[in-house]
Amino acid sequence: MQEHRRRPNLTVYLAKSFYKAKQQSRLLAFSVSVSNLSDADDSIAKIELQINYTTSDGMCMALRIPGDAKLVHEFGFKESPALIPPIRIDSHQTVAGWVFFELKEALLDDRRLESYVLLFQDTHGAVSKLEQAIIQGLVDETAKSNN
Amino acid sequence: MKLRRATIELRGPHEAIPVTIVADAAMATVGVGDGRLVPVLIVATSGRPDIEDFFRAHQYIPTGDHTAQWAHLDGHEGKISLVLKFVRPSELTIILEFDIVRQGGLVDQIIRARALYLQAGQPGDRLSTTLDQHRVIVEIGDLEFRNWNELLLKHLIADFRASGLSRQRSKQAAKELIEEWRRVTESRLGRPVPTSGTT
Repeated sequence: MQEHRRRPNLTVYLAKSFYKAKQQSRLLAFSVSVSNLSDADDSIAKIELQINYTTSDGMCMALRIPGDAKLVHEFGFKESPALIPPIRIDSHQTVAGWVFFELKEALLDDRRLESYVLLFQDTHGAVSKLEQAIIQGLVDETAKSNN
Repeated sequence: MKLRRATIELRGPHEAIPVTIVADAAMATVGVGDGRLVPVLIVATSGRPDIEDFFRAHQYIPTGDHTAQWAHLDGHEGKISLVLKFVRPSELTIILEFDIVRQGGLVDQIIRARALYLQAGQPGDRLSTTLDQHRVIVEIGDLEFRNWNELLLKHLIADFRASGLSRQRSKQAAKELIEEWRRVTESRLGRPVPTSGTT
């Protein structure tokens, strides 16, 4: 029982998700918290976004794109930091922050997007997933009113 | 090396069919593999939109992740396969199948280069006419394919024997052929090809 509690066990919670259109790209931001439920310390080694889509031939595909913390400037979020691996999470502790991704429109083109899945890989290679089908669009109202 | 029976996990039946290699060549680049000659395989993507998507994704996401494994597929006598399982940027399996006698030199070159370039194409494509096409370098690493020499030799000897050569002459011809392949493919950019004989 004690051994079982020391197994890696990261749980991801999604607070908010936004997307913003940029020229030829879709910028995605997710506000997440990752909790380490294990009795052992752990780390997040890799953060990726898996995009599940269907080709025009009906073939289901999964594309993985790496996180890009530099995109924080595109969204201007200041209240919490961007998560940049490696991130240490001590036993029974939680880290929170934003993760950002840039999805080039050319990657999807006429393909049908099915869902987004956030992937958090820990030091031991264990992957915690969180699926999100709908993401809220973000419009720059300031830029609109200036025009 | 003792063969180990294993099952290849696939995303669908389409991945179980080896992709057609429509052309092969080799490229040496100073910045890749110390200038060694790396084989280029142009594979037909008709019927495999997932492979086309994989190449497209690689144009925008240059980093990738994969595993490679040499294998004998059940019922495919005289053939050797390279099973490439890609995880990033997209998930798919590509099986490359080689005829040991006809394409043994190519397999030998992949093993020695420990890498290959993959390029999407269609029948009739050649490297010389598609130089501007995107291609992906796939590291093969040292896959402990230690019985390759004896496997290649065995198949070449059998082929020479079938064409009418004596046992002894077949052995000699097979060894000479392998030596010649390796001499030609050992060249690197900036290094002369070693030649036998006196200077």
